[in-house]
Amino acid sequence: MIEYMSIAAGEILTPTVIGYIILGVLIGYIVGALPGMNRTTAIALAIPFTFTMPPAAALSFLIGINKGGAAGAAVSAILLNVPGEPSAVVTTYDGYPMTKQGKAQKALVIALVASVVGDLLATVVLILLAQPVARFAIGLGPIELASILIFSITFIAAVSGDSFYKALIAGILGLLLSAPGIDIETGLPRMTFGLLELYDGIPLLAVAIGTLALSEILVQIDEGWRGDHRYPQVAADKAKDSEPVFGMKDAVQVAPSILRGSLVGTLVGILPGLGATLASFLAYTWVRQSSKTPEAFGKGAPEGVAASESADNATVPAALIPVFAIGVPGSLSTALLMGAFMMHGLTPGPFLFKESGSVVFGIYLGMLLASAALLLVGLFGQRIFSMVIQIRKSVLLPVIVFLCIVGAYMEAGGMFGVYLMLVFGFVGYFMKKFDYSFVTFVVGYVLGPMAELTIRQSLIISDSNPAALIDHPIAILFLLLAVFSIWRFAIAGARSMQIDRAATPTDEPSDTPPEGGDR
Amino acid sequence: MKRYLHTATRLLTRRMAMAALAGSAVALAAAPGSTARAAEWPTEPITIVVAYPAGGGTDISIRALTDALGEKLGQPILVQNVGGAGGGVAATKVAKDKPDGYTLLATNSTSITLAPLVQKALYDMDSFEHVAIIGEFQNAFFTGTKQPYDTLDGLIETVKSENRAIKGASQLALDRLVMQYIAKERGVEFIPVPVSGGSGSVQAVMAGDVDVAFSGGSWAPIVKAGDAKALFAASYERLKLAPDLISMKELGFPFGVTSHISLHAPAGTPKEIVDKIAAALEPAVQSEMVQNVGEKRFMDMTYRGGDAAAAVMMKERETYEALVKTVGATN
Repeated sequence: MIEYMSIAAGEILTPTVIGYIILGVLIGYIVGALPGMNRTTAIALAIPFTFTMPPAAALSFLIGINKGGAAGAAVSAILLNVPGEPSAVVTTYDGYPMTKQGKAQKALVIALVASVVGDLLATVVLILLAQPVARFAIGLGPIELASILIFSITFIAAVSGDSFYKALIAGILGLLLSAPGIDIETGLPRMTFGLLELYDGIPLLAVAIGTLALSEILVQIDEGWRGDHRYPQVAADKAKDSEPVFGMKDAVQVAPSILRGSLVGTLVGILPGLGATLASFLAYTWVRQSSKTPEAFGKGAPEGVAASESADNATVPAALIPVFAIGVPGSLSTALLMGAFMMHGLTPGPFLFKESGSVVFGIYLGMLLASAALLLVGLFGQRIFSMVIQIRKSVLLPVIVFLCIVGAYMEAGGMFGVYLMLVFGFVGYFMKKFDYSFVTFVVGYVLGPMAELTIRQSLIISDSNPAALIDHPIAILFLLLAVFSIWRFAIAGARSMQIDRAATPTDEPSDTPPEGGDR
Repeated sequence: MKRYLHTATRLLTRRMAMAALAGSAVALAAAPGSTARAAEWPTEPITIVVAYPAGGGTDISIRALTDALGEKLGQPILVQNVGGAGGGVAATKVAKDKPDGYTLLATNSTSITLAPLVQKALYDMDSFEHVAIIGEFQNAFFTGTKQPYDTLDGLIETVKSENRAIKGASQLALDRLVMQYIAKERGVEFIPVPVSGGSGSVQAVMAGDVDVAFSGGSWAPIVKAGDAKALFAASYERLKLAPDLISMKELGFPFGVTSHISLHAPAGTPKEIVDKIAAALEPAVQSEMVQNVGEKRFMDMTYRGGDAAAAVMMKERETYEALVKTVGATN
């Protein structure tokens, strides 16, 4: 063990390797921050460049890209209301209002700290508990996953924002959007209109880039035309003179949210196929629900940013746990990393330690260094990126549109993806205009395919007999939680609508900056 | 003043745009187009369209050989992942592409041989020149350690004695067909539990939810680790990387299924070019990187080019035609 560690340290703690790790995080951070660009593609493109590196350095570099990407996505979410990746969509809820209040710098630092802490905690879980945790996770079959997903879907009602019914409608539309594609059970195409491109469903990234990024640009163009420059032209660090950007008070305020976010992110990350978007969504909802001031959320609550970002980043190392321990990848980016393991002569899975212990320690060390590098890159990167909000819109918006198109082309099947992205850009625009929650829409869409697969699997496995649940206590637990959450959110939501209607006849979202998250 | 500047820049950009347009027109006129002769090929980068998302077995083996292949051909190799419809989207795209050797398709051979038989496809076997087979997945059926049986016969007996159907994790039309055939032959019912990919099969087996599962290689590491049991190889002959595993031939079946990693060019690509690619591929497949990936990923990376490859593809096609006929279902 000690011997492995010293070999690993000797291999990793060299200027070149540290340089690679910082470079990886930097690439990831930039790719993450650019709307439309996705870290999975960045990893795929970077793999050939790692062939000449020693294995531990190569993998630390690639994991660094992944980590940087998860953190970088918050930057554009906070500054521009355009999430760099779908998983940062919940960050826009509170991050962008903070920017509008002149607290961009603070929001960015909180997001970064949350990312780094979430990342670090999940990395520690990976290092210490990979085997037992992965064993536990793999024992969770379709029935458990299905119940977790059903529970997650009920959370859509909890983030309803201003309008409960509209958020619900958007969420269900999102779920329905996962209907086209090959039916998983019969193998027959369903609602594909004969388009081969739709056989695997509507590409997620085309939908995400359109509804999350392009739609925001359309909204801003629209508002520019009407002479209403909602875009914050304030200098990013207005609060500098009076108080520190991130002080002790802030740390105490967001610490519980970060811990909760890290926990949710780690758990969701370990489970196959659930992904970072769900993690940040669940973490945000949990933190909001347990907050003493849930009404401050969505209007610039730092806790919201902290919860979403810590969960997003925690999924990155957590998703590697099943890869290291059993050799089963849970997501596209981990499947890519697993490929990289193999190209470097490592066999992910139970024998990884026995066969290449020193390399594994090297990767662990590299991952910890990547967390540190993330803090470094983030602190410097934010200074540069936060200037973005002072750029003239006529320069900035075309660049983002360009990135959206390139992103959709690369990640969602060529021109078909671009057309879809444009269509969903307009869909998202009207959703924003009419105050339908595009977040619940995207979350519904992200959950849809996985929920369908696991629920149908469960039905086949259990012969559609609910008595089979008796053997699955974890599933029962989540189903009970789902019932509780429906009861809690649905009734509260419906009631709040009635009160709202009585109180305010207009449903125009108010633009007055509310007080931040100070309690 | 500001307004004047504005107009000036607009004029400037318009003029620049015109110039650019004119420039590209000249470039177009001067370009040799697709008439570049086969003898000079390749004069520009070659794109290999991988029919699956990045990270899969086909993708990894192609990415592992691009360096060596590019060096041999003297042009860089670009890898483009076009996933969808189990390889169908990429195959359709390449089948319609120019047959100039600059666009190639890397796929699982079943997407060419089997897919047009069982789903609506805009291409068929003869839409392609079959350049080479660069490797073989090690298809096998496996099950969890808690199951009381170690063989196919044991599995059949168990479900018969419990008077129920076999539930099997199914990721492809291929494994579904084989299991349906076996179930029909042995007089039991087979219910497929859809899973996504080899990792889905592994999960279903390790969670103990299915009686049997199929994968093209994901089974090997967990069987080695003692977390699962291999039942039998899906190929006719024994698997090269798992020679101890009983094969379909020995179980008394008249066929077996083997998925190949294959490379194709659009039909009509000049034979000289196809031969050139094939000749460069052979050493690339034998390179250390590719062999290494094959070993780790549990794929048998053996090169077969030209007529040998086409013959293997034809044989595959005949097997699937017979199989689809016997099972009778189109799913």
